[in-house]
Amino acid sequence: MNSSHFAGWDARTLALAIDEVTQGLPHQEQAQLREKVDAKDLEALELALAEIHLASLETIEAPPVELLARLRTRAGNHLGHAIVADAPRRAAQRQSVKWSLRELTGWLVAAGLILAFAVRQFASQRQDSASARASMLANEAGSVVADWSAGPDPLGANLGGNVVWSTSKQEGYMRFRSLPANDPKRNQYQLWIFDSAREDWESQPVDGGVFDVGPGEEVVVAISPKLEVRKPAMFAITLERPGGVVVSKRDHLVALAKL
Amino acid sequence: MASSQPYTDLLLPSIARGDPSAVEACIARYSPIVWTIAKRMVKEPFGLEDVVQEIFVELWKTAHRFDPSKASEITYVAMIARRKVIDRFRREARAPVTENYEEPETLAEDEALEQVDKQDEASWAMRALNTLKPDQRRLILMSVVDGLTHQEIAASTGLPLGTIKSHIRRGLDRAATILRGSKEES
Repeated sequence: MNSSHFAGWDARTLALAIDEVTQGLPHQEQAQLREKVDAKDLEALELALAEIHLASLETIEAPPVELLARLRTRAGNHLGHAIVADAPRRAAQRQSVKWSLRELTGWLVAAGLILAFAVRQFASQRQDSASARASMLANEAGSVVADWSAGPDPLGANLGGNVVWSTSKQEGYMRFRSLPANDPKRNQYQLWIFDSAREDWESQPVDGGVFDVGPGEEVVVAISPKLEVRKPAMFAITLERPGGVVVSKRDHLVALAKL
Repeated sequence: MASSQPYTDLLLPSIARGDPSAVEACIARYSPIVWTIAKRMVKEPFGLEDVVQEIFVELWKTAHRFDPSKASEITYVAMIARRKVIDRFRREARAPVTENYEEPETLAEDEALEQVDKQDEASWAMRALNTLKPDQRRLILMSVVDGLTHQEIAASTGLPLGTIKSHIRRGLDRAATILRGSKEES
């Protein structure tokens, strides 16, 4: 039992391997080591050290709250769609309560990554978006259209317009009439797409990005979801802080468009 | 001692499938361990949070590589955490001195080694450490847990660098051999 599991390694290889997993070798020596050692064997050594490390920790310290918030934002950036805070608790809730779309309108739980559009980029793209929307309506037989209805937030009280979406092209456009302009320094609108082809779609909408609305009667905004949307059931607009949010407090549910 | 007893529900396979709630649960479950490992090894507050974020991004990227037959999930998380901290050391050119490659001595059969029972991973790890001589164990913990370079350990203990390297290499080889043996028996 006492013979080394790394007996196939010569002394220099073993020395390099242990230096690598404890301190990190310079790149040249790291490359030499990788030529000699199977990656799985090196990982076995790393796992052994990880076990030793865990077993030797006497106390575990909670990370700063601000770091946890940044990690959730990074998670959204990595996955490109919504994540839900406190997942175990949410999961338990989902087991006991099945939300309907009607319930969602009053209790929208949403989280996700923010794709911030600079105002001037938005302005320059607006005309293109309007043209592209018109083209989609004219040429995309499979595109679907859903009218906006006002959400509980007064911002959507006079809202008109609709959403055009093409699943085959993974592209869509939102047209708004009388949606109040936002101040990008204070808040931004955020789109959420409820894709019924996804697990837990009612609680985990796909993030459609944030956008700004300037003064004017009508605006058209392109939709560029981070994930494939296969079966959209509802589009929702919330007003959030600049850059968007990870978890929506659903204080400002502005508009809904159900398919 | 941090328990490395596996959780019954695994998060990494769910993350590999793109489940966002598993990503959130991963942060909630493993951020204390990752933070503790990184803080102890990195020491300097500057850049510490960046390292922790790099660790989690790496976890999400490599979640599909996690193999529950080789290690518990928390051990895999700890391995990734250590790997990213060590990558940081490498970037900072905190290179080890790699001369003095001694042929490891053949270790005598140790009765304690035979008495290692199959337990959870934390227990195995502690028992593997306990088969080592106290000085050897102390040097290993300075290296593994505190993230000290062999040169820093030499400066701290006054022991020759070659002696430190030899102790650490032999000790880790021995501990890793015991731990790998535990996996093969289980």
